[in-house]
Amino acid sequence: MIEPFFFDDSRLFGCYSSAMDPNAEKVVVVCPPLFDEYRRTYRALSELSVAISERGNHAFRFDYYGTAESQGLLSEATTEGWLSDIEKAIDEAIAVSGANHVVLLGVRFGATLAAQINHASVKDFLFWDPVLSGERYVEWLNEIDAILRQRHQSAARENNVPFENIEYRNFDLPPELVTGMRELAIPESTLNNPGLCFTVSTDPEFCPNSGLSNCAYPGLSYDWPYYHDGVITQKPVLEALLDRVFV
Amino acid sequence: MIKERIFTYGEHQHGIGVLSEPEDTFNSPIAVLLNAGLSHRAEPYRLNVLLGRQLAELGYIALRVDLSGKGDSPARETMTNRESVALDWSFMKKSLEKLYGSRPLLIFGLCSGADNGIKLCAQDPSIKGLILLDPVSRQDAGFAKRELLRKLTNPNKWLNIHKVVSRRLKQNTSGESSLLNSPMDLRDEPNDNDMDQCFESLVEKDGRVLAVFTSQTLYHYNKLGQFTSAMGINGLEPIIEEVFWPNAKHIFSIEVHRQRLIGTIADWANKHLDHLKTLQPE
Repeated sequence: MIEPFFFDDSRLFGCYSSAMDPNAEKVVVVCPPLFDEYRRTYRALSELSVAISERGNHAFRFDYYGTAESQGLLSEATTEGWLSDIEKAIDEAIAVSGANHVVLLGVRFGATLAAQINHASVKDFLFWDPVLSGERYVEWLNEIDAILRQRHQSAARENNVPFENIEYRNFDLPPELVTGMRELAIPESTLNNPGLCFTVSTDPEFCPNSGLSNCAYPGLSYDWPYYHDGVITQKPVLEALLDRVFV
Repeated sequence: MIKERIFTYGEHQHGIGVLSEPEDTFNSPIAVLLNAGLSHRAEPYRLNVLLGRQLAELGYIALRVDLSGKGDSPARETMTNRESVALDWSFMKKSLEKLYGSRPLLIFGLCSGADNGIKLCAQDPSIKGLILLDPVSRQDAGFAKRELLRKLTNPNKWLNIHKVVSRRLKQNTSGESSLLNSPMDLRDEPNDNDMDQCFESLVEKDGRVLAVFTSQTLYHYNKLGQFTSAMGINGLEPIIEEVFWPNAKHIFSIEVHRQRLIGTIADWANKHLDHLKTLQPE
């Protein structure tokens, strides 16, 4: 059962999935990915949260300020604000669940944000295809804009309609937000710490190349910037994440 | 200042949505924003959230909602899509009536959302308005000629004619057809009866329709006004507004296109608000 509600004076939107086990002590707080990746993973993360609650732990998802169902506009968002939103989501998750052990599950840039959090109740980090470098991520976003421009251009050619001379941006990001995103990276001390962090990567090269022992490839590859359309439910990835929550 | 609150519906109130309400909800029509394809209720690209809030600013009650099996609403295993959507709709209406009483209803839908909107409207007299993004359109008498002309005058086609011929030959000799011959293969589109019933009833109810067509629909829609003329229903023209954006992509992946879309819908909604308020809910 999913319980949606607004919190933080109705600024933020959250969805709580209560554990079937009344003695559950863990709550998984999901830091979602951004922009189009949020759209593509929404159902997957919703199903994962339900599976976590059915297997016996609590799960809490939320939207950063200026994104999805939370209040505000993207033009007003900053990375400092989003980090503060994660802290508030953790406090809210603890308050609604009564759990005292928080697993922070970060997806893509959600992992980059999650890795900055220093909260006494966060005992584990679990990352799905983490963005290691904000600098690189901003380049990826620019690549997506270039892909979209190119797709519109070839569609115009193919359809024999004039190509529009406009800004081909997926999202118009405010400069302060872009600067803040560029500055963030996942500290190696977090990523390399098997007692603290585990990574699930759909890049088959990631685990061997990074030399991480606390890393798994679920047997399914996915190219995040390229597959811009469609909605994904990557069962092997979700199973790998679920297994880690219950280790 | 608008307000937002959680909306639930269904057998166990498992269906989930979010309501955006104007300051004064008295007499406000309700616009229900359905899922686009498999995307959840806020999407694509937060379009439904920003549009819902904009409609509430204008004086509509806007509900963005996850149908069963989408976003945060659990799936029903034993029903067809049509049956499940119809059941969702009846539950949603009950929940909305509890909150606001009977109101004129509008449906906003992109892609399968538009298909669902038409099918529901065909059956439900309380639906007085439709905002449809890339709905199915019948072809009028001039469609094939325009399509041929578009192809013949396309320099890109001529430059790549060898590739096109080779691809066609391969398809013919392999005996295989593409898994999806057209994007419509993914959709549970309304049938002729749904289309006739929906738009004839909207004429009778003096409802209002906004239909937006993007590049996705070029294989069945290629001229502004085609939808209305091909439907051939007396009295449809005064109640429908068509918009044709052959440069925009189906899910409005470009921010400029989304802003243009929200502006167009807001203008249309503003223009028709007073009229929609006068229509009797059934």
